[in-house]
Amino acid sequence: MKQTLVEIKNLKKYYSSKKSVLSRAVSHVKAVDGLNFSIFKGETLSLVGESGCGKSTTGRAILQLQPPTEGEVLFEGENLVGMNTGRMKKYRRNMQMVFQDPYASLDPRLTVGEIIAEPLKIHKIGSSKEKNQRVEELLDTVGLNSYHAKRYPHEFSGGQRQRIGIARALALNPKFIVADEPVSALDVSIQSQIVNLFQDLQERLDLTYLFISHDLSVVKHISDRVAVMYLGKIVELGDKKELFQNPMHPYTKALLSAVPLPNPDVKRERIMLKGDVPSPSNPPAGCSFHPRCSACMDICKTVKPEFTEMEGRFIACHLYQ
Amino acid sequence: MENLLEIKNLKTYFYSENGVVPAVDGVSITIKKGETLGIVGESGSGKSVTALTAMRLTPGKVVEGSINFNGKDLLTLSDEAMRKIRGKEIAMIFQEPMTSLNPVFTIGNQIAEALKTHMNFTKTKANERAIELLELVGIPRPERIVKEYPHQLSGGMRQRVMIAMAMACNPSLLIADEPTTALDVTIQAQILDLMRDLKKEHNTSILMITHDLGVVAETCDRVCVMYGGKVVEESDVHEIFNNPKHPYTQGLLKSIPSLIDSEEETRLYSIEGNVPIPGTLRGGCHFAPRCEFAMNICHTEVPSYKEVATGHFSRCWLHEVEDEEVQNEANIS
Repeated sequence: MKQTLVEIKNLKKYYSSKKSVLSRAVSHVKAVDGLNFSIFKGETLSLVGESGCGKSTTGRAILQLQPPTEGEVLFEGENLVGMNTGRMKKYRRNMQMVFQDPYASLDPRLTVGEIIAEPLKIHKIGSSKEKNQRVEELLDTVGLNSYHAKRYPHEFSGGQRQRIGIARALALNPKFIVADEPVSALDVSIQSQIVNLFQDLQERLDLTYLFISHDLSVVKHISDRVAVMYLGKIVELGDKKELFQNPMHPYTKALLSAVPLPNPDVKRERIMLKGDVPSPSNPPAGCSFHPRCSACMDICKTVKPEFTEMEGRFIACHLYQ
Repeated sequence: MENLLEIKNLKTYFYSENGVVPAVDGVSITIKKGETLGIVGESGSGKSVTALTAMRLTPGKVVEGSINFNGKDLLTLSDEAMRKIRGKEIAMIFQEPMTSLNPVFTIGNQIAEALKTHMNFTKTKANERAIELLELVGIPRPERIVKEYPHQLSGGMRQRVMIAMAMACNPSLLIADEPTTALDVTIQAQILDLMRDLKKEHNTSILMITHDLGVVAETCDRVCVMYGGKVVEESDVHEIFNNPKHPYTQGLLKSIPSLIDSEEETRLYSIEGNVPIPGTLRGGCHFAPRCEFAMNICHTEVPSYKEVATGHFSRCWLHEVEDEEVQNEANIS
């Protein structure tokens, strides 16, 4: 039986803004609108979707970097939402984040050693000698050299910086890592190095990943299960292999068929989506995908589809209800 | 087919406080009429500088080489004559549709600018044509969009506007520098489709600069692979993907995870080391420090650019070794 590490119940994150300075009316941007899913121990769950679908907000809301508007995040059975700062700090040791932009996520004024030791400093772990030892150990783990500790971030290339970011995330021996587009800013030949590093670390350190990405071929390689998001909601969630072989939701189908394949001899039937993703401040009524959907029925325009399980696959679509 | 653009042994160098940076170091490419040529490479490989040099828009200095476009040498033209070509006969689409449109002018105004300058259109006629062009690139309600400003449009719409601007004067060459990198996959599919249709309709040649091998496979007829300021391999698109000769191209193709294979690979192939920083490269083959087949000669001498099969060129010392082996075998028998 698979053990649940993180359980997300009805997670919502709204951003509100007033229409004008004087008006009372408040409009909401529903960045994340009612998510329910679990992350099992030792697995990689990927969140995929286009820009603005709420995948990064989901990651940040789970780690309480942005407090959710509503819902629960259970980490090993304990609800993190609304937890006081002192207790939260204890839980943070178990969950860390790797960011997208390795150029913006490292403090340029600190040496690499100081960057990696910062989590240890904040949590008051070890003497300075022990810290140095741990930094050396971590640099070695991510494939860098111990002499790199004395250098500054600007002396490193994108791939090396991402390794530093990963070392920092590993400093406190976390159980759970949220990786937000960790390879998107890297060159093709470097991407595969970092993807391999993520997989090696998972095996060695028994890590659980929430892997946020828009690159479907990387997701297919690294994940155990995949969740597809559209306008703040998960439309389909399932086992990686089955989801890629047999996508059920019309949006998943279109998304998979839109990826250009690096093979000029393969010609695929492409499902062209019309128009753009609607604004999350004013999502369409009913199923939010219906204006772009090729299989749209009358019911889709008025009734929101439920997120239900069908033979191990979760799907929110009227076609299957 | 006739050659539209011929770049011969182009060298564009940047002179900085820290010395000379040879961003483009002896690049020769040709584009035929109606053909799409892809230039693939990682950051710092010189692909964008090559394109910008062809438009005479780079701050770097052209040290050597010639650029022949339709019988004219673009490098020796006067600024006045170059301005007549730029935007009219050669147009360019940039990567970031957010930053390459002017935020203080309306969409219509920006499209009409090229028409008024190059085609001597009157204001009303230019405006009418702008609406037609927006319709051509699939923008809904074009008569309203011409009056709107860039910030009112989404990323995909802005890139369509960029394409409409580039196509305004029916250019014979369109340079697209990472045209879909900033876009989502479903929007990318729409834009690539649009470019393909326009090419078919107007027989435009396209120089497609990208790092995405999927985009290359889908749009290009021929491909140049660049590394460290040099073209390392060139061939038609089927050959490059099915029978790559240069170790860098081979490594690049192996390192992307497959979306359609159902068999499980546990580890991805990866090229060791880091992408070289321009200006830090020393003699020999630039890929040698990362190459798994590197021999002694690779570190000291630059390999020649050899035709390994008809229309398939590669720059690698391995081909010389293979040739020798073949010759030795022939001698023995």
